[in-house]
Amino acid sequence: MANKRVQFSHPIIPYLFIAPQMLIIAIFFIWPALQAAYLSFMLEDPWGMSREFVGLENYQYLFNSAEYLYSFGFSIVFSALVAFLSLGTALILAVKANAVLHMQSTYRVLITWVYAIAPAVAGITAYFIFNRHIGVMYDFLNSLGWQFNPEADAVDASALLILVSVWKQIPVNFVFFLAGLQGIPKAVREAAALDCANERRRFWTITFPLLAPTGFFLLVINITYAFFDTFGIIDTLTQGTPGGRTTTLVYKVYQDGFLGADLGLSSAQSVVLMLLVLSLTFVQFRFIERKIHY
Amino acid sequence: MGALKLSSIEKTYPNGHRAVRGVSLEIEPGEFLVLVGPSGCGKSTILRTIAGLEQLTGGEIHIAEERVDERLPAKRDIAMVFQNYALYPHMSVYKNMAYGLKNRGVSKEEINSKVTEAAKMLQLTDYLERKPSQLSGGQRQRVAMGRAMVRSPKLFLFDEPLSNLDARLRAEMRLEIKQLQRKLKTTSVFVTHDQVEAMTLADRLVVLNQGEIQQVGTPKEVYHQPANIFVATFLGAPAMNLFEARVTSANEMTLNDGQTIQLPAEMANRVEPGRNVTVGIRPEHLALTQNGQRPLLNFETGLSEELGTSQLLHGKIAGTDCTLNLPHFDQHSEDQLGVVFEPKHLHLFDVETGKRIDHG
Repeated sequence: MANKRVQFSHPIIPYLFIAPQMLIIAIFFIWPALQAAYLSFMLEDPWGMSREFVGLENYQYLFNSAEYLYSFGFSIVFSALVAFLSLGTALILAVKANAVLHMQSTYRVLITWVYAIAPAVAGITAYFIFNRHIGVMYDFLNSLGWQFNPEADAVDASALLILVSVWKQIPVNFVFFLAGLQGIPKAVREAAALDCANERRRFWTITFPLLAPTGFFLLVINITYAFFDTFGIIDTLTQGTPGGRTTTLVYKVYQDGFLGADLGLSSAQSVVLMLLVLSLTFVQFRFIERKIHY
Repeated sequence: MGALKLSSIEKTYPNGHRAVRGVSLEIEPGEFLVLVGPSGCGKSTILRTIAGLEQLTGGEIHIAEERVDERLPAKRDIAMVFQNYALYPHMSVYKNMAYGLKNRGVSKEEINSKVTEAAKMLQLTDYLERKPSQLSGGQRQRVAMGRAMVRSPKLFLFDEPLSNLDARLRAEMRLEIKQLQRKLKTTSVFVTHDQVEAMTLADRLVVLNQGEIQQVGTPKEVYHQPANIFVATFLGAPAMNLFEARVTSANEMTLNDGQTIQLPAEMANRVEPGRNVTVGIRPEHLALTQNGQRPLLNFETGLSEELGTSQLLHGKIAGTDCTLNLPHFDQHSEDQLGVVFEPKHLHLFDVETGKRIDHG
């Protein structure tokens, strides 16, 4: 093991090598994070003319605000559903596509190319499809007897957001799951075919556990996606309506900070969000990864 | 009462490649049958069709008088040992062995006793809780064997199971497989391209080429009475020497350069004069003349290779490449040497068909 260390003649050289990367992290991550932490203890007027140290007042306000607590809960439910549904659907699609013998690449391309669509574009497309005046799906759902109205009904609006977010995330999961499936040695699958006649049972006892490392990686990626990258979809589709019922934590940071111009409160939310994601990632690595064999 | 019966099985792949061309075989209960041939000869395909991992495109497969070629692999009562072991990486050694039993609804106590017994026989008792990644190549191979054994199937299938091991371990495992098979008396089909494995393991040998059976027989039969030129040159290292010749009289043949060879006594008068034949003789059946012995053929000396137990002397007889396998090492500086042999060691093959011209 000791031999694996590369010895540099000059001790400064390795630091120079990582300097560009460190600089980027410092400028775009550490500096704004510290700035947010600093601002979260301040009260600033909307024009940025004066600021005043207020201690934990911003945080106290946050956790007493019903609106904030609602968006906290909404974010968690929303993220869990988006991650679960997109992982599940992608897994089914990957298993089926992997079993297809003819024109497999066609299926792969068809399922994958949604990935090329930007979240905001996906949001706008969905907006047209589900629009009250011109939307095809709007008419279709209402003709089925579902009083579908995302502009007024929080459940409908949430369902719409989840649908688009899941749809947008499936390709990424699909590609990784398919790669994971193809990474399972053929002989192992054949050995399983000799040992177990039931295909479903074989999936859960052999294929699924062998896909777990891929699944775990995707879980982390998907939760991050559901928390942060759905911003574009929310902003184009609902903007948090009706009545703030579809506001996620990230969207609320934007609303309070950029629309409400309350930098202190928005910064406090950023800090909470940061801690939340940090602890979530920690929990995932600590408890779930431990159950993964390999 | 065959343990396994293949009735003119065929396998043609969708791209038109005919991997197996009408192969028929019958295997006795308890027999150890080895399929051997160069790569692409269809030996693995035959094994995989028996296992059900490939669908037949013609013919039938019967195991213990029951037709199985339309059943699922798991319903054929066979077990297979794969080339790269194919252990389940996420399961312990115990679970690897138990998996097939568990899926067949065997009770926990019975699984436990079977796995423990197999582990004992394979010296794996101390490793039952380990994962495959924590085992050496030989141990993984044993786990794969154990996984096949515990199920007590009607048939063992081995797909080149030793080719991933290093030379020493391979020899060791070869012996172990043979002992195990003798003890369990389970009918086995073993696929290999390694002729040493084929010769040492087989009760009966099946030599295949281009999807067709070339010869079936005991290792001794196949080695000493090869049915055609392919079998003659495929088995044996270095390969059998072959010369073109023409039968010139009732008991004589002439090589390209005019040298003559006596026909073996029992072949005299059996091959009509004027016929072209291929004459074969194994390198170990050729010897150099000693103290004034009359040479039967002239040998142009080429390079020599020292093998430790013997010496390979390369050169030419009648302009054709030829190798001698001599029992001890000597320096040969002469350009020409005299070679002798016993006529009974000559093999005669038809030039056109490559088939053995037999004594009968």
